[in-house]
Amino acid sequence: MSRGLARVRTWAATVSVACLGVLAAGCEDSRPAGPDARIELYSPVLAAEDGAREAERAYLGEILRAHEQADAALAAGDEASARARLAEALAHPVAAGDRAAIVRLDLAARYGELQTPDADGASETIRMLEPLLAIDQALPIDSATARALVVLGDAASRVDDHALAAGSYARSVRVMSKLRSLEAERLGLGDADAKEGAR
Amino acid sequence: MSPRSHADLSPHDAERIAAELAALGEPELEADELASLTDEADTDLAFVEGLREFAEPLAPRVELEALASRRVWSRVRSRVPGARGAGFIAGGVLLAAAAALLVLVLRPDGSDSGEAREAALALRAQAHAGLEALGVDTKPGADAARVRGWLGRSGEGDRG
Repeated sequence: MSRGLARVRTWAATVSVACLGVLAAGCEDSRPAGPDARIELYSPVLAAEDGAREAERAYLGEILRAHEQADAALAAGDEASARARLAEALAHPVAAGDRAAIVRLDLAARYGELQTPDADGASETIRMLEPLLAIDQALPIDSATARALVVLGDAASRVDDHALAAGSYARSVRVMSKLRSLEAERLGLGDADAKEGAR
Repeated sequence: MSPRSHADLSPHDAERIAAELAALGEPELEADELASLTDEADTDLAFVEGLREFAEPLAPRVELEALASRRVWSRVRSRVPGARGAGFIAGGVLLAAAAALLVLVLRPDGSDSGEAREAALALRAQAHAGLEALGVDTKPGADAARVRGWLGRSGEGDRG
């Protein structure tokens, strides 16, 4: 009787430890432990396909109007209207093409810049920007990407999410380093110098 | 974070840096390199200050990394006529920021919230200085102007 009870206890303990292990592994997978500075970048191709060109131009025109109206609202001291106009433009379906993607990142960054001084606005900025700048999302090598990542970092700092803030700032620095490296190539500087400096 | 002046580099600091360079077999600091550690544009000063705060336990290593970046860019600058000024500062800030990033990635205890907070504070200064060095304009009117530029060029099939 006592030997059987001991076996049951041993079996139960083994199962419990296994379950805890599975749970711990699950938690580890779903919650990053610290700053995540990974980023996947691509060189934007700014020559639109013929079929997409008109749709992309239309999208850019819509975003241009939104920026102009937001500028006018800000000049009149009406920041709420500026935010509302930018939010409306963000809800507009983005056209295909790298120009459109870059313009949308700038638009999202500008909206976030207006929102972030307020804690609630900072949380909203994180909800908006995180999917656009997700780790598994390839991002264009452009200043708009760096700017949007900085805005995400600022918003995360505002709500004391320091891991997200550090990761976002680090990712923005990587974008800017890549931009600098491309600029050095355009200037005809040796790639070895750029690589040496980046180490 | 307040910018440091050249006078802030104490004789003790200078001696320590000289000793570390000698231990690594590196040549002595040139006068302009010594000055560059503290006496640069505001963005560089902000960077140096941020880096010191960020990497307190690794201060000697970080200072040497910043110095290495400075030396690389001194060589680059000497090869590019007219590339002094803003371009040099921008490159220096970004390279030094990349060095700070390397320290962050390599730190084994980066998951601690206190460490993450310190890293965020330091990297924030780098990121903002980098945007400024890149000439990213966020003032009203700047975004509209950029989109207008895209629209003006959208039929040319250009790249970059």
